[in-house]
Amino acid sequence: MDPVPDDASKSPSAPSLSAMGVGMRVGVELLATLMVGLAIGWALDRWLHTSPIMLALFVVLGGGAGVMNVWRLMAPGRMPGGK
Amino acid sequence: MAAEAHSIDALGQFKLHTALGPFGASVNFTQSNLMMVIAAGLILALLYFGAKPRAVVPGRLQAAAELAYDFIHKMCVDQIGEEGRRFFPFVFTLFFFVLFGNLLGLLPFSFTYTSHIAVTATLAITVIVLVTVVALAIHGMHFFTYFWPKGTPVALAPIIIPVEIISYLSRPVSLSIRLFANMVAGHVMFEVFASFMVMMAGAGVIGYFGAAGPLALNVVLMGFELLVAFLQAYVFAVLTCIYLHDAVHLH
Repeated sequence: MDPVPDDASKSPSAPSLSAMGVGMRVGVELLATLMVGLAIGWALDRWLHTSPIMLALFVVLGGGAGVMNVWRLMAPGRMPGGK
Repeated sequence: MAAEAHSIDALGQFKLHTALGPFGASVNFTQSNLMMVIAAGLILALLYFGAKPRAVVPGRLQAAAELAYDFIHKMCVDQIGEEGRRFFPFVFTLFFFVLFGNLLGLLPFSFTYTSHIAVTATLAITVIVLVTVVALAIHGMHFFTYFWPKGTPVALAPIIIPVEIISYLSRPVSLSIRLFANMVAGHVMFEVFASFMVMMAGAGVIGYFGAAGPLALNVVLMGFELLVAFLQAYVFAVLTCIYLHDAVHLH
């Protein structure tokens, strides 16, 4: 799960469909960041008239953000230092 | 399949149409809005009639209301910290609005308003605007260091900052897509299996036995959907709490 503290994952309903739930969450997370990246890139292109450059750049950044979110979801324990 | 002129129309169930006859039609009051009003009424009724007896040993309804209160209160305090009490009304409203939407949608002839992304996106945007406003109100301009985690090499700034911003903006998107996709998927499966059942039954005597398969599947699916209805409402509320925690404590 997200940075859910321990007791949340121990709630009665959470573990029962964990595998499918986790898969669903990873998929949604990747899709969502990609969509946001796409939207930002498209909007910047429209604004700055740099047609494909920003779109290409922000799709890659969106994919990167998706992987980062999945890492935060899956990382063994919260990263101790900063967020 | 012998059933002619019967095709699977899995998405027709999500179509909006106006409710309450000519009155609803004149102001575009759809069955989705009607279900929202019913859900809100049921939540208020649960709390009102649950709290009314004020018994020391609670009855069933009072126990349900107290359980609902304690559950969300504990979630707020556990996830956000002591400051979480301030957000209790918001999280409570959000959780029960989503939960009742999911559960009411499982009743026959009703409508699942959480299966429309317009509804879930509105809820998610409300959450993210609130979270941002709370963070700005508490931390002021310091809020923007959120996009620049401590200890990141300066050389990585051009990559990390856009990635963090995209990650932040993706929260409402993933929040709304998750709820809406779960609800749509469940109801489409119901419709598909129910259509199989009708098709099988159209095939004659043997078909009646064949139809038992999809029927059994739909029964199992109903149990599963009850779980999903609760779980998705819970996930929505917990993620709201986690975002609020980030807003209050920033790092």
